[in-house]
Amino acid sequence: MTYSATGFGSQDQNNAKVLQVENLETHFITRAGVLKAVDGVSFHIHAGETVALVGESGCGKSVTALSLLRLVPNPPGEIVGGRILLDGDDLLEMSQSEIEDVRGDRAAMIFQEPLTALNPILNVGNQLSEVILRHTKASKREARALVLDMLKRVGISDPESRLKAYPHQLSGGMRQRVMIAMALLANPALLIADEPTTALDVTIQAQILELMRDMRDQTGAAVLMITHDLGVVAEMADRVIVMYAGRIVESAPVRTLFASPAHPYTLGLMRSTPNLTTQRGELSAIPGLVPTLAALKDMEGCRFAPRCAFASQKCREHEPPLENASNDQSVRCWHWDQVLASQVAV
Amino acid sequence: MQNGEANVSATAQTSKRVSLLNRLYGLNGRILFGGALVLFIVILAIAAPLLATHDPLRVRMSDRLLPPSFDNWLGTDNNGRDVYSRIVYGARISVLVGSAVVILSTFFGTLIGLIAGYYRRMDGPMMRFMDAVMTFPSILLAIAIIAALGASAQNVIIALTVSFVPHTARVVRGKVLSVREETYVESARAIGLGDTRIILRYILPNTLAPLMVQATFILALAIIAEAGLSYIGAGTPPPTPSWGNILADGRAFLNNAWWMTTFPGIFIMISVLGLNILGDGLRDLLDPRMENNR
Amino acid sequence: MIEKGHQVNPMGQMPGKSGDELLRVTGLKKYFPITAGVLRRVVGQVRAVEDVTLSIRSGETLALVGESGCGKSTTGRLLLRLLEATSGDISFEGKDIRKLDRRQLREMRREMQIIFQDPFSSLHPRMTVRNLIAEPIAFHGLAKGRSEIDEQVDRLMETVGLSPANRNRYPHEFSGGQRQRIGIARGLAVRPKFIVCDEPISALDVSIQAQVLNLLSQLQRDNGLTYLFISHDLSVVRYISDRVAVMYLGSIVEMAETAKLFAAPRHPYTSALLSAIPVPDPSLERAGRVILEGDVPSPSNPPPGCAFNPRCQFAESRCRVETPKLRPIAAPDGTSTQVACHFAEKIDLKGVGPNVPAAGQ
Repeated sequence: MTYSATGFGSQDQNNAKVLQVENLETHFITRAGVLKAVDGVSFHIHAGETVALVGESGCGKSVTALSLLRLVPNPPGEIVGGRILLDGDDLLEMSQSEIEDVRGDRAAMIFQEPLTALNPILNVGNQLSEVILRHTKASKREARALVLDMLKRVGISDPESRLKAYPHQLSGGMRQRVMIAMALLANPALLIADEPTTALDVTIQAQILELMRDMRDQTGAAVLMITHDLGVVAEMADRVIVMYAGRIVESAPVRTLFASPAHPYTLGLMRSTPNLTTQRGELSAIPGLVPTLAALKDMEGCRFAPRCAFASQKCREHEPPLENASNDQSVRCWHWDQVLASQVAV
Repeated sequence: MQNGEANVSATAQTSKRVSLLNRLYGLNGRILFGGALVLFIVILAIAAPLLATHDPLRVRMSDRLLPPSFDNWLGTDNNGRDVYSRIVYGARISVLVGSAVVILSTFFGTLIGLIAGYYRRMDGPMMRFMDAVMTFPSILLAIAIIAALGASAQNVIIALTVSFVPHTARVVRGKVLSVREETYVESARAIGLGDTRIILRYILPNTLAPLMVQATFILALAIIAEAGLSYIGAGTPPPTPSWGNILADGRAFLNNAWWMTTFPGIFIMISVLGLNILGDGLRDLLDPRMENNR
Repeated sequence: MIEKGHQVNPMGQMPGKSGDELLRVTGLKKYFPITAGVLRRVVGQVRAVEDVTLSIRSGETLALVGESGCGKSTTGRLLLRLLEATSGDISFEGKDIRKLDRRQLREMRREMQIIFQDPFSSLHPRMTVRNLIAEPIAFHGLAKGRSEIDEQVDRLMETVGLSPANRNRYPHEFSGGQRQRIGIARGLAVRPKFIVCDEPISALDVSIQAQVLNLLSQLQRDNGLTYLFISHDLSVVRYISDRVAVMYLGSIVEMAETAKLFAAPRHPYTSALLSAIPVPDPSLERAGRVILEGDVPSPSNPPPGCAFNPRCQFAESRCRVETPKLRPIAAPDGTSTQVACHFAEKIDLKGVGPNVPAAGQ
């Protein structure tokens, strides 16, 4: 598999930035005013790399994912600024038919609930063949062979008989496998997975995560994984981007992030999630509420300040920039050094 | 925490106010226009004695089939009666029959719908019976009932109520079936509330919105049905004026007295159009899906 | 807070070992008929709860864990008689719940409450917070007159961390976490002894989950509450519960004290479940991870023998014929665990958690 050299990456394939997002702004224009769901988000993903986008409901992670393929429902949503470069081509400059050619071909998406993302009146075989027929010149027979092969690769037993099955006849895990097969059919350079295992049981989740790891390693695709589950992040991601209220608040390699989170929100998320070693009474909750976008409209200062134990007057008045805490860790906090120091003390 | 809480609630408040205003504004057109037409007919009915220029029953053969003039605004009929005054009084019958049918069919339909929807065991038999009633076209059913009971305004009300109850029952039952599965109904049972209280406090309020919409359409249908029945002589017996029998009288004079059929027709149209526009507006206003559109 | 009518648990005592038996369930079954055709002929049965036997001691938290469709939520509803069981016994403080008449059942509702999973659908949207919380108080006559009711409502709101100033607001004006607090206040209003928590935090945002978990723990300490905590999230279960019962396809397959179950599972399904939890620690290599193959079978057509046998790596011919009973087996430290597996003594299973390399010995 080869990737076109981009204006950004070197000749080295592994360093090629498959996706480069610069200052993305997606707004929702509602009667209550303009809601900045994604407010100046920049990041990139290399080939073969998995980046996790983490945050709670309303933080803008899903809107970011949808924006990448220009799938944000419009109205009310609108991408008002920024650049989205897929192998150097700006998706925001493309015509409608050009972006449609990109979707499912160079960039594919896996959704949380495959039952609603799959067409209920098309059987699996036709649904998957359609992707190939849409993007290549393959014949129906060739398409069918490719589909069959892909279904085998994603671990669907007895794929011949599954071709005739309709989505509702499959179990949740099976549907997600079909979804993944569909996404991978066209060999996309970028795979976006929006909470791909949230709707699944834990034993099925383990199957699907393993499948996704295998597929990433086989195809070398860049993967953007949207999730709220830190366990999934730890198992899947190479790098993690934490979002809060439409902004990136921290970005770091996965081990760095878990070992020494520099943003109070990241730290709070980790301390408020029970894991297999948390003792009773150790769970410390982040106080307060997840802010609504409408509540942020007139907010000055850091968006996390009202819930933050480290917040100072400066935080309430001026929003911090995203700055480097180290070579590969960037954080949007005035007091990140204190946040790191507090963990050493404990 | 307090800070954040206040913040969020405040926004919730404003956005709620804004959206309600917006929704009212957006629906202004239809609800106000439809409502105005309906109000016009209702005022006509209530104030008929004040608005009428002539006695609607007084026959004056010398004034037969006069075209609209300054004295007889909408002309006179074949018996020399003032068409305008007859239409104004006819509105009384339409509104009376219409509202009686709405009230009665809503009452019985809601009762049946609540019971059928809430108690699974009653659902089968009750709704099968309602389905059986619904298989008759309502106008035919009404004619059959009136054939048995005799033609009078009261029997028209009974006949139309019987034919509309199943429609209301079906709407209510559908709503009850969905609300019954809501977790908050289970929560009511968990704190010990009995069936009656759950039905009255938790389920009935949820059926009001679809009932209101349904009521406007039934009113429109009842007005048409009453006119239709009177037109074929199965409704309000002459000489009492009703839009239907005014039309029927004019039928023989279509060629030389167009006003006898045109004007009652226009009034029927105004009231039905008004009710349908109002009903559509209400449906959009009360549709919960609209609330999510904020 | 709410003092009256409660036997307060002595502080400092291990909650799991404290109380007497509060609730005992024996051989509980719930079959839902599958009907087909116009005549609604019964063509089969969904065996939602196949065989549940458990007991809950006063003041403890028993977690009921399993994947979707395993019957854990149905079991919770059967205990409260929000659903009627097909067969089996439920005894609460010695009273047979299934034999209560309408009036006795209403009284029983004061003792046993439920907190629902979805805070968005479990509160009547047209009732204010005040009315939602006041309703059970007024209905059961737990306060006289409006002012006394209002007083209790305010106190309950404070107890669950809501400002009483918001009492006249409607549920939609609150966030998910706050709504869940309203639901908790409503459940607490009748001063129950026993609360079924049906996935109370799984619909909430991550940063809010810990708030509600901590609130539930605190309420338990303050009021001596007993919880049946239904969840699919093993990390949460490990944090909050004293004992755990693992369900698979309508039956309990293992029941043990929490620490023991995590450290030394005795049923292959428990072990697989533990191994499947994604751990938020990227430095951890999950060697020897068991990834179960296949899907949970349909409860309308369970496999013969042990329900888990088609996915079990240890399954032998006996497992495909004979359904294992839940039975106590001795652990090395002298305590016992209940397991429904023919080969529980023979197989070597992995646990998870601190300082636990392997279990079974």
